[in-house]
Amino acid sequence: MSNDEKMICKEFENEVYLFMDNNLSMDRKENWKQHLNKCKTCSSLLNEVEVVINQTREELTDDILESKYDRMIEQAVQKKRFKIIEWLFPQGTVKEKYAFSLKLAVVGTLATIAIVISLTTQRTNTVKTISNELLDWEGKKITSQINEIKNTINLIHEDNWDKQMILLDQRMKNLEKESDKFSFN
Amino acid sequence: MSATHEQTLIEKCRNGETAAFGPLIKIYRKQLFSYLLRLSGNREDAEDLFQETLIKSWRGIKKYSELQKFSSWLFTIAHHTAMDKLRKRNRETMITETEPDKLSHTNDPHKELIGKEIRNKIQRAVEFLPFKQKEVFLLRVNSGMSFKEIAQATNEPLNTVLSHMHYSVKKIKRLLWSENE
Ligand SMILES: [Zn+2]
Repeated sequence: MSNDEKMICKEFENEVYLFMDNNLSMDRKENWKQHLNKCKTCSSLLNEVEVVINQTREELTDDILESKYDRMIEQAVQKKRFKIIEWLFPQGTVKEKYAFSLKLAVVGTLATIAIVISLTTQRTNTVKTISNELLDWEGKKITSQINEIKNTINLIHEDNWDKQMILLDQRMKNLEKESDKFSFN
Repeated sequence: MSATHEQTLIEKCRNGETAAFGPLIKIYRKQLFSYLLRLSGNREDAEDLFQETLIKSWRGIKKYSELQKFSSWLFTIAHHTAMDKLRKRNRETMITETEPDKLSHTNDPHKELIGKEIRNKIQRAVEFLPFKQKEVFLLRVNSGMSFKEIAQATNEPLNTVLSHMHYSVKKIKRLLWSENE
C-alpha cells in the first residue's frame, strides 16, 4: 500500500462514524463509497465497527420484570403528590433518603440551639435612660424661671429700661447655664 | 412497531390518557433499561433511574416536539437523570459490578458456553471503559441516536464524541478479536 493510500485510509478511519450517520456531503459520501469498493482495509473497518455495535446491543440487552414495569408506570402517571409530603419523604434510593434525614437532623439541631441561645441570653441596653423624676424636677425649675422672666418683661414699662435689660441679660445667662447642665447630664 | 402507532400513543399520552404510557415506553423499554443498567453498573440503581426517567417523561410529554425523534428525547431524559445521580457519587469509584447473566439464548450447551463467553467479554470490556467513553458508546448502542444528537445530549463537541466512540470501539474490538484467536 502506498503512503497516499494509507493517508486516505487514515482519513476514512476519522470519518467512519460520520459516514455511518450519513452526516457527510453527497460528494464526500460518494467518494467513500467508491473507495470502499476497492479498499479491503476500509471496508473491513466499517464492518468491524458495525459488528461491535450490533453485537454489544444484542449481548448486553436486559429487561425488567413485567410486573415491576407495570408498577413503575402506575407510579409515574399518578398525580403529583403534595409538595410537603414529597419534601418530608423524598423519592429516591435508600442511601439518598438517609442522606436527607441526616441533613434534616443537623439543620433541626442547629435551629434548636439558636432558639435556646436567643431566649436565654439577656439583651444589654446601650441607650442611657434619664429617670422621669429627674425630668420632672428640671422641668419645674425651668418653668418657674420662665415665669420670672415674663414678670420682668411686664415690669419693663414701669421701670428703668437699661437696668431691666442688664438684669434680664444676667438671668438669661443663668438660665442658659442651667439648661446646658441639664442637657449634658 | 410502526411510527404511526408510536405517534398515536404519544398523542394519547399528551391528552392525559395514562393507559397509553405503558405501551409507548415499552417500545424502548429493553434498550432504555439496558442503557441505565450498563451505565450505573447495578440493577438497583438502574431501576431507580428508570423510574425517575418514567416520571420525568410523563410529566414532560406535553412539551415533546416532533422535530426530535421520540427515542432521542426519551434517552436524553434518561441520560440527564443518570448523570445527575451518578455525578453525586465519585466517578472514579463507580466501577461497575454488573451481575452475571441469567438470560440464555439457546438450549445447546456448547453454543450457550460460547455465547456466554462472548457476552461476559463484552460486558467486561464495556465495564472498564473510562466513564466518558462508556457514556457515548452506550448511548449509541442502546438509543441508536446519531453522533450529532449524542453531542447535544452530552453537551460535548461532536469531535470529542467521535473520539470517545473511536477509542471505545477500538478497545472492545481488541478484546473480542485478540482473545478469540
Ligand atoms: Zn482504505
